[in-house]
Amino acid sequence: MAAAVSYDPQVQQVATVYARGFLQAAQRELGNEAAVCEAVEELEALSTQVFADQPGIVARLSSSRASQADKVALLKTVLGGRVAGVVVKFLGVLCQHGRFELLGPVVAQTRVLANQAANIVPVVITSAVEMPADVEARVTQNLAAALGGKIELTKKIDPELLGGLQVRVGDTVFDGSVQGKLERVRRTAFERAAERIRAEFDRFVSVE
Amino acid sequence: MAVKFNADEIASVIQQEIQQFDDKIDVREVGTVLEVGDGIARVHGLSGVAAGEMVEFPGGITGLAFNLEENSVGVIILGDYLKIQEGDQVKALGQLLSVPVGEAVVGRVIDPLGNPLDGKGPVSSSERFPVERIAAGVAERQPVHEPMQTGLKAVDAMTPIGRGQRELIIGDRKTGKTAVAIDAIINQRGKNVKCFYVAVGQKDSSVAGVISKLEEMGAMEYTTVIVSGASSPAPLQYVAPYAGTAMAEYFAFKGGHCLIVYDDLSKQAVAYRELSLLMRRPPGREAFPGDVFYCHSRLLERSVKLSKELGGGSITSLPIIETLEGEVSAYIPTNVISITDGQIYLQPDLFFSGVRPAMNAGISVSRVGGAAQVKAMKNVSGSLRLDLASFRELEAFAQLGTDLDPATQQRLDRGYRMVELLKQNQYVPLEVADQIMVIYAGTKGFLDKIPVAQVRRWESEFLAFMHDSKGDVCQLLQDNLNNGAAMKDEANDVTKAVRGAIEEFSRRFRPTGS
Repeated sequence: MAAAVSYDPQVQQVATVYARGFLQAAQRELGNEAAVCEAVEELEALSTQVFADQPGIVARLSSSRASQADKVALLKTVLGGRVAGVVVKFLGVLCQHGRFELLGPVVAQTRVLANQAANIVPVVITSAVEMPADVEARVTQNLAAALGGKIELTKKIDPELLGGLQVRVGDTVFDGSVQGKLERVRRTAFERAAERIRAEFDRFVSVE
Repeated sequence: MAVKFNADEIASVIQQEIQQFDDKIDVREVGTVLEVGDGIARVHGLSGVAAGEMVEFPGGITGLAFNLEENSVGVIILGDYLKIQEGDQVKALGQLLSVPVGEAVVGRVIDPLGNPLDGKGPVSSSERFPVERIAAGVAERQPVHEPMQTGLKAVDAMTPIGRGQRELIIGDRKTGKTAVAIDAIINQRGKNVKCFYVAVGQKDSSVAGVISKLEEMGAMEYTTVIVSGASSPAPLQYVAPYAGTAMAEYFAFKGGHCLIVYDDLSKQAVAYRELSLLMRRPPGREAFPGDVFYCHSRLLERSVKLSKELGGGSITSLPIIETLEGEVSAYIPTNVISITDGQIYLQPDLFFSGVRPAMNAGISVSRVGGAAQVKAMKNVSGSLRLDLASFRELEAFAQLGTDLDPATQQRLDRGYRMVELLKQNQYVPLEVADQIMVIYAGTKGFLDKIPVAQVRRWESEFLAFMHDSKGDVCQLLQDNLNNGAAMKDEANDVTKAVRGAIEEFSRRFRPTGS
């Protein structure tokens, strides 16, 4: 079940530094949580909608041919007044440092850090079939109580699980799926049976 | 006669196991493989994994968390890394790497993870020991005081090894390093010592040769061979010496005695360098990582003579280091020389001139063995090492062709005979009492009249004579091995008996061709 991974530890390290910087700057400039949250959402919208549809602008902002002043001016012209000032300034800083092509990872990391600050835990629930609404509500409620915070739920469907649920919180997986259970039965039965066959070899073998 | 498996019986056992299966939700820490190759994998996730913790890849391949970085974990893969792909899920197992230990491993040929390589079925042992373990501290030890006889005259007389000691065997390729270690293993027959031969980065053909020789000499009954050959991935070569030590520790902590041979640590260092460079740890001298010293010191510190309270068990180790062109001042040789309690230095020119074992008496030392030497041997061979070293100097001087006074000529003559007497064939270790008698005869000048070429014949016939006709003298010496006065001066009874027997034999001995 291997899938290509687009994760680069070095990019991640740089992205974390910028994301942390952005959140601190937004906090200082905007002052309250709601406004910071809004700024993060604006940044996300810019990254996933505006810049994603305008590869020309991204190319120009990432290019080393255009001067830094031009890039900042372009950003101001396009975005000035439409989004929070700190967002425009932050994009300007990214341009000046030649890191504009890292916008995607930076924004993703900003979301992770903002969620951490707001005690929102990302949870991935994988099930074999679509979960009924009442089950989902119950699971979400129990998880929120167990984790002591709000949860940000991502649902996935994987028929190979056969039944049950697999819940992933951070790097920890709680596996209650039928597939996992069968695998554990197979492994335990195999190991124990092999152990017993070794211990009482004569019982299992007859010489004719 | 046909062997038939009872399928029904097996099915019923499996059915029972399934019925008894008690399932709990499986909680595990996971990560994703970012890149894999050359025996290492870089993993994203596993944020709670500990250094040295085992992880599992799909297909049951295990790995070891080796590098914990800010955004990824470097894992060394202990298995076939070609079956692992980018994007695979990795699971932390929450336990340290361990190997099966106990009587089940004795007489087996296994890989560093305890998997059998000899076709004799699985190693069924209920006990496991962690591969990495902090060595015993000062309070848990006692000074080395019991001898570990190698059966080699040159070693037991000049660089005696004690139980719990670490004696390095160092020399160029093809100078008989492994032969010294194998003789030491063969000599442990009937002495209640468990032996471990760890082959790291060796040709499989050489290892097969060693195993068949050990089998032939009946030494496999008390020996475990841990093989990580030249074709094994670097992680397994790196882990092998620690795995072997863990197996030896089991017996040592139960009060037993063990002898472990690491053949050889230069190749382990090379495997560790490979891993470290792939993990992008900064290279230092000779491109080895900065902690290659620690890699060897923490291994060799586990050789121990345990205190009486802990049962008094011991692990004696004979690490082997291969030098290039006799260069003992290279990085790894100097490191290991400084860690061990002495070294046996084997020299190619001695080897090719027929002096085997090709031990250079001048620079071979044992820093603690003297305390562990059998008393009678100590009395006989006390000055042997220095005498031989000064003989080598004198020999070089004599080659200038100057006229020599009779006293110098006499020292030279005795030196030639001592060198001849210390030669020993492979796979024929000698009992310590035999060694004492032979060396006594040499140092006291009983061989001065024997032609150099006849010395070895004299020795073998003398030993046969002693065993056949002078059993009482042999027994007397055997009983007084640890008597401080035995063989010390001419007035001692044991000395008188041995001397009398040598004189009797010397009167009978007729050099051939004269």
